[in-house]
Amino acid sequence: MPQLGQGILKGMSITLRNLFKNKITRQYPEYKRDLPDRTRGMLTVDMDRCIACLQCMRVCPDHCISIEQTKRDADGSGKPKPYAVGFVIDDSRCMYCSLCVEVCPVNCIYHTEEFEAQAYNRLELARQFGERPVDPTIDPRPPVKKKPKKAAAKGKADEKADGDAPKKAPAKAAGKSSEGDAA
Amino acid sequence: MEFLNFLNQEPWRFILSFGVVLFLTLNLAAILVMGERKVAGYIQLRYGPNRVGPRGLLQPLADIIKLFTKENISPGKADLWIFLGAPIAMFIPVAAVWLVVPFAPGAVVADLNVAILFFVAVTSIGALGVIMAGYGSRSNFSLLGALRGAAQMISYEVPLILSLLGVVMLTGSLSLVDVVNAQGGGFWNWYFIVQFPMFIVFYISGLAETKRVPFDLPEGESEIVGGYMIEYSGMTWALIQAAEFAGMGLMAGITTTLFLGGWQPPLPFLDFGQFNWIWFGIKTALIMFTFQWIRWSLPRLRMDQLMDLGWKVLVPLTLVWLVITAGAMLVF
Repeated sequence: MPQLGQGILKGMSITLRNLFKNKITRQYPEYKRDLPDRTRGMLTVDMDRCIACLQCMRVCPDHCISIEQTKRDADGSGKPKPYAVGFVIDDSRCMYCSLCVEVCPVNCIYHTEEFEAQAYNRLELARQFGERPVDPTIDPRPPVKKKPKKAAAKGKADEKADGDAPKKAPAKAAGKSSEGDAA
Repeated sequence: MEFLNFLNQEPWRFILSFGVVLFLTLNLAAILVMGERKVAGYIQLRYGPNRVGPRGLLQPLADIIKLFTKENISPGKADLWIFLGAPIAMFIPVAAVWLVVPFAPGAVVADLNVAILFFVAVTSIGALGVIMAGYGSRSNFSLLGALRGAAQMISYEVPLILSLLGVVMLTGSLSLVDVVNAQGGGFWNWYFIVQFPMFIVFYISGLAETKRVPFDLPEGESEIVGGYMIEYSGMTWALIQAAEFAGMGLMAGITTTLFLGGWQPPLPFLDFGQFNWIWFGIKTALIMFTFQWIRWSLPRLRMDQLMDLGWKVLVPLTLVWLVITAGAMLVF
């Protein structure tokens, strides 16, 4: 009997004390906390260093990076090299997985500490870095062609004609590797 | 102001004061929603709504505008008349009971000589609204919530009424004005001292009757996702919420009137005359705060525990105390 209602009183006294305690809420827009060192914020690209190797574009699981590549003699060495005239990162698709940062051979794509990616329109979130804007809505990696399957379904008559191709390919590869050995 | 004297004549006085009470009831609901959210925030070490207006005080206004502009959806197979009538059937009784509550000396819309009977009778219509909402939605969870609500509200009517009887016996009248007048002259004359167990029972039954948290099984957010008000949206939902919060305010007001002396000041020299409604307001607000405090502290009861508490604890307690009161009245 002496325990009757003790739990209720204990809980109620805790809540009453909480009523007058200092609040732990951080009022966000007025108060911004320091972000950790390895924060994955919005991506940015240092276009001077970019060698347009397209590795970030290929590795991106969300296809949010699109690059328009041309050959240009940018550094005056007299030899045209791949150059990214258009570079777009579509933040509406980016999931901040950091794969592009890891794969970049010249460390030109990296995270900033910016994270407030809000916009009235989805297309506003596509940030252009190159000289020429690139349409971010176009999937940089079109889906794999499904034509071979159709051909197989049509008839097996073409099989022999197609069968020659795989044979040729290993030969070419072998030739290339031998060249590499010689060099 | 001579030409306004006709407002003191009977039909006009009643219509005007009823309009004022209806307005106050609707506002009370909005303010209580705001208070609820603020208290919840502060108890959980948060700030609660604090963006709209100074310290978030205009939040109810923003909520109302939002709810008015929302689409009113009803289930395709709903019994539409019952579905749409339920919020009204829940709100009107609550607003009607406010008519008999005395706010200040002489400030009561209808001084009924059977005001307590009126209160008991009209609040039980609220159960009808709950059943209508659950049945009209034609949804399983709604019906479950409505059944729970009906069981709970009807069984807690019994201790609620029994706990009133002590006050009625001491006063010898069913009029709330008489009850308040009998408690004048300092807080030691208030009925919560001589009728303390009845006060506790009335308070607990009031919590159950307004479906507040330790007894919120009809709503049961975590089990039956909102109970009888699942299918409501927009303004119909808002009216149900308004009815709930106004009912909570009403229960606090009735508790104040019956046990805490209504508008009577706690000490005789604090009598403000016509401005004694301040005391009524302060006491009612305190009771409302304890309602909110309990809501954000205690877990929900199970259905069998709820019924046990009602029938095996509260009803016998009130019966015993009634006998004690009667004996004491006979002796003294």
